Order: sequence, then C-alpha cells, then structure tokens
Amino acid sequence: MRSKDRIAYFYDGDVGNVYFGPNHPMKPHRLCMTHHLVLSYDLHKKMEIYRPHKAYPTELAQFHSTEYVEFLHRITPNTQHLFANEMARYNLGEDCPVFDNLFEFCQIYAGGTIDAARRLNNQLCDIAINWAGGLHHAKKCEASGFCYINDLVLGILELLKYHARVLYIDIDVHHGDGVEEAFYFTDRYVPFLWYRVMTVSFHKYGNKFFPGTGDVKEIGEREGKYYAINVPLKDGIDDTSFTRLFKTIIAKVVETYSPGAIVLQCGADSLAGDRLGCFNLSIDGHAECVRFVKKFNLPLLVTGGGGYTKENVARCWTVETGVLLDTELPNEIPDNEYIKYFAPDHSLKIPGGNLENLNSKSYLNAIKVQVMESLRSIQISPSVQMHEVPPDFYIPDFDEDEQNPDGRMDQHTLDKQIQRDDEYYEGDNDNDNDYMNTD
Amino acid sequence: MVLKHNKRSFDDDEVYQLSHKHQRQVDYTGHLASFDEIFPFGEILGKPNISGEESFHVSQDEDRLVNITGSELPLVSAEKVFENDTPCVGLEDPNPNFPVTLSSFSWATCNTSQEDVRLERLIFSPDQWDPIDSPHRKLVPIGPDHQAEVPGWVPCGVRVIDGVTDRFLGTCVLPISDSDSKDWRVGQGRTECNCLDESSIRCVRQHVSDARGDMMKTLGLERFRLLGFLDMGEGVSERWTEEEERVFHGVVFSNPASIGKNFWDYLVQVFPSRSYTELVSYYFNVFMLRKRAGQNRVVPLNIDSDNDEWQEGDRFEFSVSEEGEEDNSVVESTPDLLNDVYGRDSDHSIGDGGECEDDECVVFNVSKDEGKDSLPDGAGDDSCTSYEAQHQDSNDDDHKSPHDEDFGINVWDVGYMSRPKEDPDFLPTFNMIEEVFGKEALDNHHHKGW
Repeated sequence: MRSKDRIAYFYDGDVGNVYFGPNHPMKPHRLCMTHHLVLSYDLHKKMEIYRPHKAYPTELAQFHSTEYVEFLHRITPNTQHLFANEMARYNLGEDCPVFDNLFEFCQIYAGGTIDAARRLNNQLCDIAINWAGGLHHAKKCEASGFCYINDLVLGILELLKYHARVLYIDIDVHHGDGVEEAFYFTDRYVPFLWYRVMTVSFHKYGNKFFPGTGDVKEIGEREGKYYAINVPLKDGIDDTSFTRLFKTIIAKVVETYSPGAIVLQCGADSLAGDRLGCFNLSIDGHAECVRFVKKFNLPLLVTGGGGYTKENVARCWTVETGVLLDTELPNEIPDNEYIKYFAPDHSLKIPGGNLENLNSKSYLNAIKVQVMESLRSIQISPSVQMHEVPPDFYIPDFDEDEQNPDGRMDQHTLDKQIQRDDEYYEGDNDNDNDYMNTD
Repeated sequence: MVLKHNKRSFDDDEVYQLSHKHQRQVDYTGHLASFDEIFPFGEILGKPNISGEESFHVSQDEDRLVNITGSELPLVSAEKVFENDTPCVGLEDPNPNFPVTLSSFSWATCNTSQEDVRLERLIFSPDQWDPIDSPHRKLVPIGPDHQAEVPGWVPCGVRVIDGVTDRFLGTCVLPISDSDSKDWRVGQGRTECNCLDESSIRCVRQHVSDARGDMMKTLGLERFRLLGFLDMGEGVSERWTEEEERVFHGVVFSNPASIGKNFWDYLVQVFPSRSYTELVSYYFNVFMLRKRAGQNRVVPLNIDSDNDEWQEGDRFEFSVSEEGEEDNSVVESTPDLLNDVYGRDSDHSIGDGGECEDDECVVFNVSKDEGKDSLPDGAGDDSCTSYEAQHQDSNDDDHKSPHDEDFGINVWDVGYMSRPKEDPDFLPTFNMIEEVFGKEALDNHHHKGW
C-alpha cells in the first residue's frame, strides 16, 4: 500500500438545496448531510477539498445527445406542460421530474466527476471522491431512474484519454445499466483485441426490480463481448456472502483485465434498511468493498449513487471517506448541525436488516462460475496476449499553473507527433525534416 | 404521480414505481415508431446474416433487439438459444412465478407468438433453462442512440491536451497542509454532557453551537464559509424573520400531501422574494431538523425522517380496522411503525391533525411587500392564527390530542415555534462570528454576502 494517498474531495453546496419534489425518494440534501458529517470528523484535514466547475453543455454532450442536453438545459417546471412529446421522449416527468435548478444540479454533479477524472489523469491525486455523482441510470438520450446526466460515463470517457483500460465497478442495489449500455457494444476496430472499458455490476435482479437488466448472461456485444459482467443477486444478501463474492470476482477481473484506472460507484441503497433497496449489508460490509478496491493502488474515482434513507447514506459515505483515508472513525458521531438525524444512538452503525437471505450458497456459486467463465474468454485473445498490451502511459509531473495556450491539437498535428515518435533513426541520419516535409 | 413509500415488500407487484419507466414507453408512439418495423418472429428464422460489410451475426447468441449501427435495417429480433458452451446454471431456487410475457418490459415488444415459441424452446430444453432469469430478460439496446463514442487508444508518446477544458480541474477550497496533518486526530463523539437537562432540545442545541464555534475558530471564517457551513443547519433560520418562519410552518401544515396538496406550490406564492433554493434550504436545514427533534422524542425507535408527511400528531392517525375508516396516506407509508409502536388496539381513531376542512386550509398570501392587509379574514396579526385555530379544533375533537397530557409540554411547539434567538445559550452565527473574530470580520462577512 502506498504510504500516503492523495485524496481529492469534490463538493458544491448548491447541490444540497435541490429538491426533486414532495415524496420523491431522491433527496440531494443527503449530500449536504454527508459533507457535514465528513467535516465533523475532521476528515477535511487529510484531503484536498475542491469545488467542481459546472460542466458545460458541450462536456455533457461528449456522451449525451445534443438534443437531450439542450432540452435539459431549457426545460423548467413552468414550461414542461408545453413540451409533452419531448418530456415523454426523454423520459422526464415522473421518476425524473423537472424541478427548479435541474440543469445546474446536473452540471454540478457531472462537473465533479469530470474534474475528479482530470485530476487523476494529471496525477494530481491518487483517489478522487465525488459523492454527488454516480447517477448510473442516465442514458445517452434519456433520463432514467432519477438520473439525468450520466456523470460516470463522462468520467470514464475522460479517463480514457490517459488510460488504455478503465474498469467500472458498481455496488448500487440497482443494475448500473446506463454505464453498461454506454459501453456494451462497439463495431469499430479495436486494436490489440481488447476492449477499453469493462463494467462490473452487483445488484438485485428479478421480480421486476428496476431497471430489469443485469442478468448474468448479459456480457456485452461484439468487441464488447465479455467486457460486461453482471452479478444478479436476490433479496437479503448479507455482508459475508456479498464481500466474499465481490472480492473473488473483482480480484479476478483486475488480474485478467489489468485496468489503468478504476471507477467505483458506491450506491448506498444496497445497505440494510434502505427505502428502496432490499439487501442486508451493513456499512462495514459495504465499506469493505471500497477498502478492497483501494488496495489495488490504481487511480481510483469514487462516486455516490443511490441511497434513499438519507442518514444511512451520510453514515455510509462518511465511513467510506474514512476508509479511503485509511482512517477508522469512532462510532460516536461528533456534534454537528445534523446530529438530530442520527438519533437516538448517534452512532455510525445502522441496525441490521430483517430480510431473509434468499441467496443460497449454490446460487452464488453458480453465478460466480458463470462470471469466471466469461473472464476466461477474455484471456483467450487469439493473437495478442495481455502482456503485450502497451503499459499505461506515464506522464511527467503536471504543473498546474502551466496551461497549454494553443488549445486542442488538431488531428493533423496529432498525426505528425505520432509519426515523430515512431521514427526510425538509422545511425546519424536524421530524417526528421524530410519526413515532415512529405506531409 | 404519487410515489409509494412502502418499498420493503417486493414479493408482489408493489415495487416502487421505478418500473413505471417502461409503462410510459409503451405510450409514446413516437419513440416506439421503430418497433412497428420489427419483423414477426418467424420471418427471420434461418436468416443469420444481415447484409452489410460489418454484418452482425444474428442467430445463436441471445435474444435481442438489434439496431445495426449505420445500417438502414430496422430493428430485428433474434431467436433466443442458449449457447451450448455456456455452463448450465443449476439452481436450487426455481421461481415458478416468472411472468410468461415480457409485457412489463417494453423493449421486448415481441408479440405473443414469439413468447410462446421462446417458452416452448425453453421447456424442451430444461437443462439449459434458467428459471430465474430467462423469460424476464430485458434486453440492452444498442445503436448510435445508446452507446458512447469510445475513442481509439493512442499509444505512448502523445497526449491530447485540451488547453481549454484542462483548466477545469476544480477550484481548491481547502488545500492539504502538513501542519494540519501532523497533529491531526479524527473527530470524536461527545463523551460527556454536564447539562442538567441532558438530551433536551436545548442541550442538543448547546453542544451543536459549541461544535460550530470550535470549527469556526479552527478553520477561520473564510474557510468556514467556503466549506458551506453557513448554509448548513438551523443557523439558516437566521436569514429568516420570525414572521416568515411562522408563515412557512403554517403553509406546510396547512397543505399536506395527504389531502392532495403540494405545499411547495404555496410556498413559492407566499414567498415571492425568496428563491426556490432558499425555500429548500430552509426546509431541510431548519424545518426538517425541528421536525426530527420532535420525532426523536415521540417515536425514537422508529424514526422515518424521509417521510415528508410525518407530523407529530400523526401518531394517532392510523387506521383502526374496526372503525372502518380509510387509511390516511401517511399511515400507508409507515404502517409497520405505527403498528409496532402503538398497536391496533389503541382507542384513538383517525385524527385529522393532517387534514382540515376547506375553510381552514388557508393560503398565507403574505409577502414582504404586501404586509398584513392580504391576510385572510380572521387571521389577525399573527399569520399562523388559522393554523393554531385548526390545531386547537383538533384538540377539541373527540380524539383529543394527548400531547399536553403525556408530555406536559407540546414538543411540537417547542421544536417549531420557539425562537432559538431568544435562548441565551444559543448563539446565532452572526453573534458567534463577532465574538470570535471581532466586529470587522462580521462587517466583511456581510459584505461578501451568503
């Protein structure tokens, strides 16, 4: 383990004063509570705190369709009745209501994940945290499951600028369908026959549980085949079963896929007692997954996600912030503005769930077997072994103050640079000039 | 749409209406226009290859709806056959109740004949049948409207540096400093409380206030502000006048969702000079916290602070089946809570603390500009009079509120209506800033604004 991981933590206070509407289970105020609890444990002294920039529409359109982004930008609660067709097309209005400051909310949580990815890319930190992010259901052209913009896809696309392979892990109780779908299929030629994004999701599946995808047989298509891994689970899974399965699978995934960076979505609705969830995980069990992923010492982007019992969300993500800082937090919660939410025990522990664990050992074993089978398929690359894949690119120390004044390099310049790097020198014959002049 | 609260029973179809998504999709004909072009199942059998250079082998793999990237072909469905090399999952937990059709999953809008064929195949291949997931499987859509553009990997030597967007790496609010981390000790919970009224609302406020003061001293005012402390907690109420607070509470109590009202609509009207963000901030940082204070003392073992509709009087608003009265919608959201704590033998029938007669549900047309002239008749100088009157009426009813009898004080009132500013132990943030940093800092703070 590295002696000291640099942690960058992203937060914008405006995100907590967003309201989805009465009786809507998604309450961004939980982010405010989490932030405050993190601060009350003095964890801010061990990490760098950043306010993210608000993502521009063009940045959001790196994944989403421009029409969808534009609609999100323009629609308001007062005008939505005028755009019934578009509201339906983009799946807005029910699970995904239009509320005041909706677009700004999206810009903040997406900006946090994008900034986090950039800081990781530039090696300005080892771990980056954006608890406001993790809205994994959003699709390219529509909202879904309380998610409007898929910050995870945007973060992964950002990481792909600097890392050959990115691994996505999702422990939300709901299937990470938006991220999986974004990278499920490609028909473009992929050099070296490996695929740049692998998605792994652990979730409840069956009995029409949202979103309905995530079967173990969902493994990707064409060049993406075998790069989507789904671990469908039943109600009531407990710490022991979950963490054992998680560690076994993730260890094999990392060994097989050798990612350059990891994105970890820590949806807290997989905790016992969640309003919408149906698992029996304790905070310790949930956090054990975070601890395990951290041990790989890879650039790590951690986000929030689901979580609909807000005090448990705050507890969970605070504990996990501590885990990422290699700090165990005392159970007794310090006095803070939201202490009332943690009554009567004022403890970080949450009560255990009462659900029966419907995941038999044989069922879990069967799932594990299928997943391992899929992973073996990746190892059977016909012409290229994994060790021949170029290592993750090393970049020198990045001086934050030094900005490239020239803006984005155009493709022509980019091509020339590639050619320069691949030049072959014969003795003292330097062909630079001749080579460039032939362009 | 009324969103259900009771999420724990997943055995039947009472799954939270997240699944509503696909029901909606069926209704939107525009989006589903392409589905009309789906060929009947039988037509594509035996046609494994779709024309095109990069043909997609549609046959043996998986049942799906495929939109060939860049091709002009409509969506086609494929025959579903399990791969022979896929290990059969031997399951001990067959679910015999799986739905025959996928009608609840709009993506697979196959007609009945397709379903029958698929099911038939499965029945005749019991060793390959996964009873848990096979007929349920919702398909992952693919196509240019679904997948991201994954950039090609550019190997060593080149990094595309976007001079514009690379500037956006986040604005540093709190850098790490070695001096901070040297003596760093993780925050501890309160270990001793010497208050005579330990655990009272006053006691809690005192300790929270002390913690706030300590944090402000440690961080300095600027960082305290930048970290968002000024926008968290009951201190937010300092930006509201007493009258505004009374009006706010009155509007919320008078317009519960249980009777189809949305108090947010009224809040926006009543406070035209307040932004929505301010209203939300007050709601969560002041209103909900005070409500939580009440909950902590009324039903400490079964607190559900995510129940937006909970009011302190709701403890008596549960359905007693022998009375034959309708459930209050609040009750529906916390039946276990109420049953566990109070049981069904209580003599209290449904109260109407959360309901009111039409003539009592007033909208407080009070704004800073309009003054008192716009108050409803009979409201008087105190804009919450009608709320209090309503509350009083419910006390006079047969199902009397036992607040006074059981607690001696009305916890609701102490938590909600009393002014923390009048409590000498509770230092508003303004005063705290002045005390810790001096008057000049307070002036600068005002200048910067919140």
